[in-house]
Amino acid sequence: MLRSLFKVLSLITGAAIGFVVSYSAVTVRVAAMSPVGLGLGKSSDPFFRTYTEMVRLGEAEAVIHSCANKANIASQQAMSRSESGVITELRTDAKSAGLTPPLDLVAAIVELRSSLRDPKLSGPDQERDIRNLVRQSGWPDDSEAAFKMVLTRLDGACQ
Amino acid sequence: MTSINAGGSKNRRSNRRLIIWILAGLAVGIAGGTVRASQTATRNSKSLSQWVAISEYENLALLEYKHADPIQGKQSLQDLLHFMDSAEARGLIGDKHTLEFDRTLTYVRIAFLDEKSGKAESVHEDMIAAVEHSRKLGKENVSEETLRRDVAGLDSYIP
Repeated sequence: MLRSLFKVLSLITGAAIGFVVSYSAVTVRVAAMSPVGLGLGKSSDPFFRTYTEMVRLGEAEAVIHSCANKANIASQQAMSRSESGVITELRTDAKSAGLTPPLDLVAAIVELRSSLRDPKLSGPDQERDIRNLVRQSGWPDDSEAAFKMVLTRLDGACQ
Repeated sequence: MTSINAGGSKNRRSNRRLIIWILAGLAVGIAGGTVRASQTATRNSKSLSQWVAISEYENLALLEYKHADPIQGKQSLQDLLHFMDSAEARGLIGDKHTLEFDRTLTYVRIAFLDEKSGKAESVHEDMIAAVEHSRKLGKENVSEETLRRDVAGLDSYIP
C-alpha cells in the first residue's frame, strides 16, 4: 500500500516538475521569437519583417502616447529615433512585400513631433520637408493646419 | 550479515523503481507542458502581435481614408486588406474574430470612398463583401444599413 503511494507520488512529482520546466521553456522561447516580445525571430520573408516592424512602430507609438511617459522628454526622443529607424527599414521591406503603407505620413508625424518638442529643430527646411511628406501622402496642398490638428488630437489624449 | 545485504539490495531496487516512476512522470509532464504552452503562449503571442501590427497599419490607413484624396485613401484601405490577408496566409493571426471585424469595417469604408467617387457598381460589391465578412462574425441578419450606420459612428472618432 505504502509502496503504491510512493509510486504515485513520484509520478505526480515528476509530472509537475516536467510540466513547469517545459511550459516555462516554451513560453520563454515564444516570447523571445514573437514580434511583440524580443523579436529575435529572423526571417528572409519580407512580409514577416514588415509585420515585425509594424509591431515595433505600434509599440513606439504606444509609449509616446502613454500618460506616464508624456513628461519624459528623453524617452520621447528615444522613441522618435526608434520610429525613424523602423520607417527606414519599412520602406525597403514593405516594398519587397508588395505593400505600400503610408510611411510618408508617419515620417511627417515624427518630424512634426520633433520640431514641436524642440523648437531649435524647426525651421523653413523642416517645414518644407513636412509639407512635402504630407502632400506625397495624398493630402490636399493646404492641409498643413489640418495635419497639425490631427497630430494634436493624436497626441493630446494620453492612454 | 546476509539479511543486511538482502535488505540493502531491496532498498536499492526500491529506489531505482521510484526513479523510474519519477522519470516517467517527467516525460508525461514535459509532453503536457510543451503541448499546453504551445497552444496558449503561441496563441496569445500571435493575438498580441496581430492587435499591435494591424491596429498600427489601420490607424495610418484611417488617417489617409479621412484626409487624403479618395484614390489614395482607397489604396491605403486596400493595402490594409492585403496586409491582413498576407498575415492570415502565413498563420500569424491569433484572433480571427477581430480580423473579420476589421475586414468588415474596411470594406464599408472602401464603399464610402467609392460612393464619393460615384462608382455605384463598386459600392455594391464592397457592401456584399462587408456583409459576407460580418456573417463570419455570427451576425447572420446584418443589413447594409446597419453596417453603414455603425461605421459612420466609428469614423467620427478618427482624428
